[in-house]
Amino acid sequence: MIRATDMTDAFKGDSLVRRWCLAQGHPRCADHPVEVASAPLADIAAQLAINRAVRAVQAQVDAYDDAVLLASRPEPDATVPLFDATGAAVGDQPNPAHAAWVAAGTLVANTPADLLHLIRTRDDALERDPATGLPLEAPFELVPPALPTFDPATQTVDLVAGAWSDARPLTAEEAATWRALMLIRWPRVMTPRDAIVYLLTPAEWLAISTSADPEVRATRQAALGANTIDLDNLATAAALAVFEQAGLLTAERVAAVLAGKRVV
Amino acid sequence: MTDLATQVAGLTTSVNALTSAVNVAKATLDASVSAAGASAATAQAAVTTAASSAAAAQSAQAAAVAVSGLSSLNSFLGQIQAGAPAAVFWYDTTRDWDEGAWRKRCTWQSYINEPLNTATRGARASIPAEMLIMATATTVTIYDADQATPVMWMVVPAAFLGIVSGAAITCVTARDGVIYVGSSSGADGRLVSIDFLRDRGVIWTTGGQYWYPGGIASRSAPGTVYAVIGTPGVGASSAIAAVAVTVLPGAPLDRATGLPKPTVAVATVGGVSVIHQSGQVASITVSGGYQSAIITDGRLLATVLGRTDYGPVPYATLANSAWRLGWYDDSSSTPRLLAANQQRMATNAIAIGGVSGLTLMAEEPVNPANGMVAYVTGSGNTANGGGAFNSGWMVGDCRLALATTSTASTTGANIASWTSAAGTTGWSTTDGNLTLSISGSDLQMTETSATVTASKAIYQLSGCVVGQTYLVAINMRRGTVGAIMRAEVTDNGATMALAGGYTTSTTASTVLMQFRATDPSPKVRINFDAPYTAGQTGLVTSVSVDLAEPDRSAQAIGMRVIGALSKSVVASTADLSAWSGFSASNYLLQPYNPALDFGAGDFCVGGWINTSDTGSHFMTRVAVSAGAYTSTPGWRAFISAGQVAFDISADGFATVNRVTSAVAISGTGWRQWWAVSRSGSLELWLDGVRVATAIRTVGTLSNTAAQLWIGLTGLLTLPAGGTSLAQLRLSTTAPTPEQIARMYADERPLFQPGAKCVLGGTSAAVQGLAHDPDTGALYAAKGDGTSVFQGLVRTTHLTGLATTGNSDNHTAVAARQGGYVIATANQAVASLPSIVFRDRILADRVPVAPTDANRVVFPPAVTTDATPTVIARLPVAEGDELQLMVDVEATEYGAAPSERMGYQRRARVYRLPNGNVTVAAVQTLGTDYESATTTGDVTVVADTTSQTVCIQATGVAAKRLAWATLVHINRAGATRYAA
Repeated sequence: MIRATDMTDAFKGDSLVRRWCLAQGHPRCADHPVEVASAPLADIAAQLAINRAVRAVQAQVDAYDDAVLLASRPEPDATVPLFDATGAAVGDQPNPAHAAWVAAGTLVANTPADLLHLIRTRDDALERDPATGLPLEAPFELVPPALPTFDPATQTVDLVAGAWSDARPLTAEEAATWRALMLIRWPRVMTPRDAIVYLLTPAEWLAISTSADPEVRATRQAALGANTIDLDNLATAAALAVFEQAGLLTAERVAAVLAGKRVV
Repeated sequence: MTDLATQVAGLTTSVNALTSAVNVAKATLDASVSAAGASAATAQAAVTTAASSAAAAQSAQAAAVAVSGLSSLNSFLGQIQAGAPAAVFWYDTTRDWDEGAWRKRCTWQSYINEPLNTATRGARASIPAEMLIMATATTVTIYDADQATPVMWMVVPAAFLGIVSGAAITCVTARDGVIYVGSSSGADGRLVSIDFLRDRGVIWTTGGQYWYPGGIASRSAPGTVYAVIGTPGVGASSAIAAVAVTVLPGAPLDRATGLPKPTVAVATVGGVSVIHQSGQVASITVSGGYQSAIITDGRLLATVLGRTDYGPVPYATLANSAWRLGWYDDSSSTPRLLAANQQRMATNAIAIGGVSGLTLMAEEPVNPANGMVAYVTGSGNTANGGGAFNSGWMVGDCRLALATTSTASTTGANIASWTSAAGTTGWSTTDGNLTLSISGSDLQMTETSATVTASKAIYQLSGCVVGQTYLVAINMRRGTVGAIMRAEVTDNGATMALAGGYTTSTTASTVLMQFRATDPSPKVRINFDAPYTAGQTGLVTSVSVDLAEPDRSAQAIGMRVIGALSKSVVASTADLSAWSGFSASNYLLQPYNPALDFGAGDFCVGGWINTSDTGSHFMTRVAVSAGAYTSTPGWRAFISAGQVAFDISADGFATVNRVTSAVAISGTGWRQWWAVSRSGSLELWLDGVRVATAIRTVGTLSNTAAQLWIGLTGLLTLPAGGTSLAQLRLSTTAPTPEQIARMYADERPLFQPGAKCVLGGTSAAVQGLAHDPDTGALYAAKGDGTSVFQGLVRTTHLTGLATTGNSDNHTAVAARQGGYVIATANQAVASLPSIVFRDRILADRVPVAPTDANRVVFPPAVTTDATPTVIARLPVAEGDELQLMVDVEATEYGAAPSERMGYQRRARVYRLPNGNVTVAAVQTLGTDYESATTTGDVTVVADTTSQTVCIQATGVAAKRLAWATLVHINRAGATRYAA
């Protein structure tokens, strides 16, 4: 059985993002995963938001299951002896196991109806006609509405009560996940040839390669002579600044190249 | 004088003749005496030789005894213990991980050195290789079966088994030097393990684990147990119904014993608890509990009344509905079990038994819905048409199966044929809240007032023959009633429902039901579902009830007998019978049955045929109108030029897709044929061999006007007058070539002279099941003996096994090496083949041990979408340092797979003392091979809940993939920390 903590987003070296859903109440990946390298950024971000929503529902299921198991056990003693430093009993103290048992019972008793519906769906316990076996209630389905538009690199949305929230900034963890995926999509270290092909337009490279500016020529030859181009290396930014000062790249294009965004 | 002289002369002649005769006779006698003397001498010589041979044999036996230490090499059959055992088990230590070598290391243990020849200890100190374990309610007795005549080796009393007042032993098993005994009393049972290598007894309860302070020798007065701190109990309940033990792939070796750590499945009234090799206990909870549980092929199977659930071996406690991947039952699963409370399961999931008989199973692990089942019953069976039958293998979703062992000819009989022309004659109601009237060509049922219970219209039948099967066809539809309109057949007293059906349609629809008469005058009853509001109506157009040949499949819709048909055994003194005598007026007919609408999907039709016809039709499903086929879908099986042929058509056979055997079967005896539609092709199989294929261009075969005829065409022409048919089956599942080959191989023996194929005796209720892994025999213990099967053939039926006080009420059975031990109501009886014979079986069987702990092959696993799935799992003990070389391949399930994958990974795994399992690194070796979809993956992840390392696969959406995993394990054993 898959728990919420097992529902990872990315796999195969972060090159694919799973599409989690609920099928007959069970978390499944019924559809093909999203290709990080080629899918639109909005699609990747949307799938991450959907996955988070499914995972949140499954976390509630996990909590319910754990609570049912705990609550079905015999009630622990409400208190346990309290000893002083010498080992002498000095009274009683609340038993954490009892508190957990009580909390579990409370959680089970206050389980929302839609979660119980989901549990019945998963457990194949939907109300049925005893003679025909035909279900008298529809199975639980989690069908998120269409996602709103948001900046995939900096924002995300949450599914709250069946509707998407307003866009909010990514948490640190979500941002780290996004960066990891973007590193796969846009590697930060590549060969000079790949940098030319993927990061510059043909016109830009033609201008750079035919420039007679001595500084541009020197910078160009240094770049071509390197084994790799590291976008996080300050020397790369300096080289791009040379091209920018020579009027061969705009400031926006320099920023895009440093972000690793590939030309279409 | 003359007369006197004449008389004297005559007398003299007579005397002379007499003297001569006497002399001749004397000579003959002398010769005979002489010959007799010679014969006597010869006989004496023979006696001498025989005596000499006997002496030599005796000497040889003595020599053999001297060498082997065995008292006799003979076979044994008879009682070994009086009193009714609660459970029996044949512990064959040669099936242990080290083939029983552990016994030789048992030298210091207390029970080895305790006094012999006492009431609780036999004459032999060492541990027998073969042990027959008998459990009464409170005591376990172990018999030494190394001897030809089993003798008591050890008695384990109640004091050591944790049997508290009122509790009773329910089950016993053993493996790798440990005997496990389960007991039950309400919720106060115990699981006790008797560990011969450790010389220790351990008790499991719901509260945890408890050890006896002394060794096994102190079993009569074991002293007070002490709790092992931190050990979990055996789950929701310790009222134990069954226990099974296995060793999972990759189980670590116990350094104290040198044997792998076992995994124990315990079925209790609360569910099933799995005690893992690590000591972790994971339980599957279910209301009512499980009656039995086994772990086989990487799965846990647990049987509750009427249902067997299966799923992965659990590592976390779950409800059964959240755990199971599927189940087998008699109402909703595919394939289905034989009706009525199947609950006894053989140790390797090849058979499930219950009150109606046996369901033999040939599972398809990668796609369980395509597995095969065969029903085997006895004459006392009342389910699935009743009586003794062997259905043959039914694949997947079987929609019709005809099988019989009867040799009585069958003559059609119409019990009822009501239409509105007869008015309301024969109809009544259960109460005054329902009125019946004729409305046009219908009987109108009208609810006159609101009620809380259903008011029913009753049509009284008469003239049924008890034990015969009838087919009911009711044409009915909803009027204003908003809910379901329901029909049922009950016995005359309406105390028992014999069949049921319903319709939700507001247009004419036929409800078909098959029932077996329990009295001559059953009732057909029709009602509406709640709410029972005034004014709602339903309409009945016709009711017909006819004698039928029963459908043995779970569909339970048989075929009307038209005219008279013969039934005779398929071979002399065989059990299985066949139908014959088909003609234009003698045949089988089934009205439109929606279950036979195969659509455009896969299906199969087949069975056994013995024909002398060169041109006839023996199965036809098509629609007929005005004496001609309508231009609608249909199919037919026929003999043409002595060959088998099969057509499907979309236009009443104006055009067809056809396969023909090209081999004449006419006059060649019994032949198995299958017509299979698979993934757009049509195939014909003969005797397990594909003999013809064709491209299927015909689309749907569904036809709401079609009927099924057996024995001729739908036009009542070309009857199969020289044809006999047996074990006919129809399924919406296309059997795999492997399954067809198995069907032929297993069913062919049923057509040999003398072949028995149903349960012996009269009872169909199976009380115990056992499988002999050495011979492949399946033992089904019943109230009137034990039937033994090899495949689908019953090889013997065991009764009268004890010479005194015999009981044929066999309640449990265990089997090994061609022998068995059976618990009866009066005693335990056993049959042990001669030791020479048993040795031969041991020498010939597939080697069972030892397994390679560093090269582990896992059972196949399945993915059906892209969900990450654990396909293999290895336990990691504290202190373990492992490097795994993981080799995984996957193939798409089906006739034409397009997905093929291959992955290799290297993983470094460790677990520090008191720490969690950790995967330090996972590296891809080489390049992944992915023939089509490139989004599959394999990785290695840690599960810190179960402290296992998991091989996790990601499959392909909407495709069923079978995964095979091989793991090479390099253990840095020198640094291992765990005990």
